[in-house]
Amino acid sequence: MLINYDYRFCVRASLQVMKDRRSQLCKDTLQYHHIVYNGLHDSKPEVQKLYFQYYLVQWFDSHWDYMQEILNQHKEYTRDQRKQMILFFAEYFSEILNNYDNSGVMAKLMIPNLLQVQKETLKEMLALNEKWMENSSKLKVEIKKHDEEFKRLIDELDSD
Amino acid sequence: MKHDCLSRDLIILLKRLSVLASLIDTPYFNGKEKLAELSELSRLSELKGLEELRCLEGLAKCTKEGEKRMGSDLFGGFTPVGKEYQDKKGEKLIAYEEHYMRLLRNYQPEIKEIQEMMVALRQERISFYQVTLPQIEQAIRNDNVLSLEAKETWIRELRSNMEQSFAISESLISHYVTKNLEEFERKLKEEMNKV
Repeated sequence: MLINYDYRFCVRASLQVMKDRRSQLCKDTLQYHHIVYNGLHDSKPEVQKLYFQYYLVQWFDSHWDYMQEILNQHKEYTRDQRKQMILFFAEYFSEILNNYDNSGVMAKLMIPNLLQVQKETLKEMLALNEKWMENSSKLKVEIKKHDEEFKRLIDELDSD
Repeated sequence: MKHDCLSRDLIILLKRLSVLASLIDTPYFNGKEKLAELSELSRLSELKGLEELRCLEGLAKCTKEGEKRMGSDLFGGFTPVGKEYQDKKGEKLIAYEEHYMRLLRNYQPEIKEIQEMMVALRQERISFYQVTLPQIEQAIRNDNVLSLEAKETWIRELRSNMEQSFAISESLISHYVTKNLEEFERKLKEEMNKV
């Protein structure tokens, strides 16, 4: 249970994350972020889709990174308070993740079970509060893995 | 001194009579016979008072008896409600209003913040649909190198992800409002328990 000032901070920080990421998505499209640009210019529809997925998964992961960044700037919070905040955001983060299941290019991911590990990690994090730190690190590792997997797959498809 | 007491007793008796006369038509009063009895008593008291004006003690006694009877018999027609309870209830109501207003004053920055959050989100959404999205669509459509399918896929994705993000922000604000309301109600309850 969050104490009064913590939930205020959690909501404000989460709103800041959402707003910033929305702005980033528009900016990346207008300024032709290299992954979006590659997707828009590739002649193969399969590769186009893969680039879009790659960008969106990165964009999605950046929500989590940005939240961690905000929390790192607030050293005044105790370990327990930070844990509560991570769990608060994890709840909303998993909501975004679940919405992806029915969404356009993300509905059929080129890398099977790409988001599954993330979903399970978040679920475990919310269910077992004690393992929050461990799961938080696991999530970071998964985010890095996404990047590597996409790069490898794009290289493979481009060389075909 | 005794004369003064008699006058005071008579004044009280007459005042009560006038109050009772005004109550006779109300549904709470069911003692028409009692009023008649009281009037008779009053009349007798007055007569007695006039006849035995010199005997002040006797008249005073008679008047006091009349007042006593009036108090016990006439007000028996009302549903008995503890005076102490009535006062307490009134005090509680005033205290409730006071605490409510005080809490509202204390929560003014929160209320303002919620309003600002909602306005900011609404404006951001309007700006996205009216300014940013047409700009993006225009920029992408102007690029003749791009395939039509790729253009449409990306615009659809952008729109859908933005909308999902707006929805999450809305639920975050809703969470904030709910938590504030819960806190407000809890504090009000705590204050009221102190009264």
